[in-house]
Amino acid sequence: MDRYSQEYSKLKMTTALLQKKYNLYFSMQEILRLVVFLFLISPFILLLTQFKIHGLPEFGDFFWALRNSFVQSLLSAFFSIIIGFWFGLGLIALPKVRWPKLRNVFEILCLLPNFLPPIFTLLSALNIIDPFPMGVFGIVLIHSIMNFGLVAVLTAGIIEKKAGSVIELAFVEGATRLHFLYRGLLPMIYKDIWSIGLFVFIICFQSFSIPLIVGGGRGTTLEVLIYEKIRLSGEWSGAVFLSIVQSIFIFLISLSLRNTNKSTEIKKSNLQLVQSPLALVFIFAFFVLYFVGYLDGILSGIQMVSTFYEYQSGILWSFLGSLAIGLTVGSASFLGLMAIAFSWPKKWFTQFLRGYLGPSTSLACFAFLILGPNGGLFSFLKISAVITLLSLCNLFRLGWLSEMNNLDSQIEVATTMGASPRQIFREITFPQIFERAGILSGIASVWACGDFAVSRILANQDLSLGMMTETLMSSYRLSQASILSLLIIIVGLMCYLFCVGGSRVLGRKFKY
Amino acid sequence: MKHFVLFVTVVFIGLSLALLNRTNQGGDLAAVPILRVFGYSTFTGRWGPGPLLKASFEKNCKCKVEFIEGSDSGILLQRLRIEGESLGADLVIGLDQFDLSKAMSEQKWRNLSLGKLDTYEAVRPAFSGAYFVPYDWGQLSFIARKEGSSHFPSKLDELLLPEYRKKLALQDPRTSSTGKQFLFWVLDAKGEVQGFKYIEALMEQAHSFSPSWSTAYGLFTSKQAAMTFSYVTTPLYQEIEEKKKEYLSLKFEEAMPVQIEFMGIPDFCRNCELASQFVNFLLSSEGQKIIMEKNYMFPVVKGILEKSPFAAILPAKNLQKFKVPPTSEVERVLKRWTDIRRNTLN
Repeated sequence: MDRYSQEYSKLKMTTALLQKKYNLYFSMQEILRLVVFLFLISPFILLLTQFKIHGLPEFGDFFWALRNSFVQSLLSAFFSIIIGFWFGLGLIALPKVRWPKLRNVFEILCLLPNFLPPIFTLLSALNIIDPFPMGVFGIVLIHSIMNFGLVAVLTAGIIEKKAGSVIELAFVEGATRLHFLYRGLLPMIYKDIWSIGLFVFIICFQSFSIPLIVGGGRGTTLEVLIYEKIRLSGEWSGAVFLSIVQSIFIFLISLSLRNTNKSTEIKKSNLQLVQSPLALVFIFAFFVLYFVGYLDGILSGIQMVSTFYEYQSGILWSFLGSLAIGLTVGSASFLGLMAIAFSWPKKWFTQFLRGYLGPSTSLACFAFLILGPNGGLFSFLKISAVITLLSLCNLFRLGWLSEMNNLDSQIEVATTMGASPRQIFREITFPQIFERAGILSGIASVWACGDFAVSRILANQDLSLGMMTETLMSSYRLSQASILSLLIIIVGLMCYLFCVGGSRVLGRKFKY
Repeated sequence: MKHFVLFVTVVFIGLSLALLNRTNQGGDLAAVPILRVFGYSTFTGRWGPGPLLKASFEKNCKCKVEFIEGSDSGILLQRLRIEGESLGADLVIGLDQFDLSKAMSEQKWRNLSLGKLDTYEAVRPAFSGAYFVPYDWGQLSFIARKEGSSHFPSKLDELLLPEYRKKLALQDPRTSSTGKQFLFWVLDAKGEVQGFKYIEALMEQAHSFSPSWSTAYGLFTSKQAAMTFSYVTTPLYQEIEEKKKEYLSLKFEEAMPVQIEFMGIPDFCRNCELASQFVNFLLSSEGQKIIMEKNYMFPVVKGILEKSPFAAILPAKNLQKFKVPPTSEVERVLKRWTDIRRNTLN
């Protein structure tokens, strides 16, 4: 053995002894868990090193904002559940096993308002609803429009998976529709409905742009109050304090979330007893209105399209910028989701991801602004990092949690039988989750393409279509802004397809 | 697998290079000095005066002008405070009279040396400061639609008439400079005690208090609100750029608010001489004309807007006097407004 090999084995032995003595052994899983955890709480760490919390913010403002946040989230969740449940009964009138394509079209329609940047829903609603009710009611209205489609898709899936055969039996036994809904279906799925409601509540609680614009000064929420604290007098300590309180509040609420029953394969069942074709008509009518409202703004913008001619190179660069940001966020989210999957399961980590709300948008942006140089490629990287950070917790709640819950028992069996974490990931976890990871990271990339709030703080110039749209809106040119929003849809779609396609290619390359 | 990784890598490298190339357009930047101008996005962006000013200045300065964008004056000050020298700004552009006191207390600024200028009376007092110089100004008022009404309010009290209930798209004074202008206009016109009573009564008339001018203006143009508080040049923009003649700015009996926009050179500037040259260029006939035509604001120097459509709407009298309110005063007033809004709308 040469000298170097001896030194190396000596070092290895010393390390092993130290690890054993002080319990310093970190597996790859633990390291990844720690990396994800630190990444998600990094804005708080960064800000707390810069600003000490001295004194509490004024309680009058705080309680007012907390009450508004609570009321609007509660009402938004309530209406989303009520309408979403009914629309869900509409969706099951198109059984997946019989009309899979038509059902997919309706599901995509339902999910669009939730996945498209909020500006689309806002433009559409402001064009159609006149006068638009500003304040808490307006916030609830927009949040409900954005979320009831998602509730409908989730509810329809749950009913088909969990209650299909019972519905068929009740139908044969002659139960009435109302009686079955009240005595049979709701008791069976109330835990799932509660989980979905809580999910919508959390989304609405941390919503920023909708309360800021539609609140009209009447419905200041905690997120808006944090933004105001920073903007008004640079009250950083107050803003950090509010953000921490908000996170703790949501974390406590999330403790009531329990794992729901594992879902099973959808079987062909007769769901006639509960399905509602009328709701299907309403879904269609609603989305016609949604798109008409949006197209109304586009049509007035088309008359101004010639003014874009001299800015075509700028538009092209912004298009590429949006594409780059979208793809980076999509890829980073994919990696983040995979890191979570690799380090699954761990109780504290699961509970943290389930309940962690993330910092407010403006806080996260300013935290990254403090960190290192800005401008050029740094701005681009920081924007991508912040959007990934803000998206990751939502993606987890949006579908990753249930996906991972479904794998719990398989991972448990494999671990008991002695499989290594790497083997479990390669042979059990990855093959079953890569498609869902592609879809979720695709959604994050769509969010990133439409972003302007994060980019506006972190970038030194218009980098993306979202920023360009915002610049247009701030300089009288609302019609042209509507036209550019069409390009956001195109680039969003490209990023989404890249993420979904990329994940499939990865799956195939791994020969699954 | 290798091909896929290669493909993804090529896509990312390509996009990154494209973005880098975009920020470094113009070739060898090390050869010429770079003047970095920090301003709000509507000034520095494609549709603002920034690109034309840059092109024109670069013809003679043997330098490059680079813009650093902040979304508005609030963000400009925040970033200056947080990033300081590392921001690399040689010139800050876009502060208004409500920002000056704060800007002075948070940063050190350089003395400006200007040539002799023939300026408008409304902005002349604003030239008395040593560190900040105005480059444009605008008068604010309510903008309404011509159609659908034969009578428009001509004094502040008339805004409280029942017909305007929930019809005014206003801005939040804490986040919007135009919102701040409106609040201080009311307090100036009515005195503080009566002014706040008026603000309290006005809460019911407000359709909304938007976070920015653009949101309030958007609500007005989408016909959600009957009037909005904006610049008197707004109808002119609509007429010239969008060929629409449907808006008009209202005249009020009270002395009308004036917003003056300033620029200043921070003490940590690297190309201070170039920054000073750019300041003088912005005050030249060429610079002032570009600012007027692209920013839709009035020039501060006389002899620019004559024979232009701006001449017809140039306000000559009944304007508020220029003053720079101290930061503590601004914060106190905004705090009071916050309390009123919370208690009234609660």
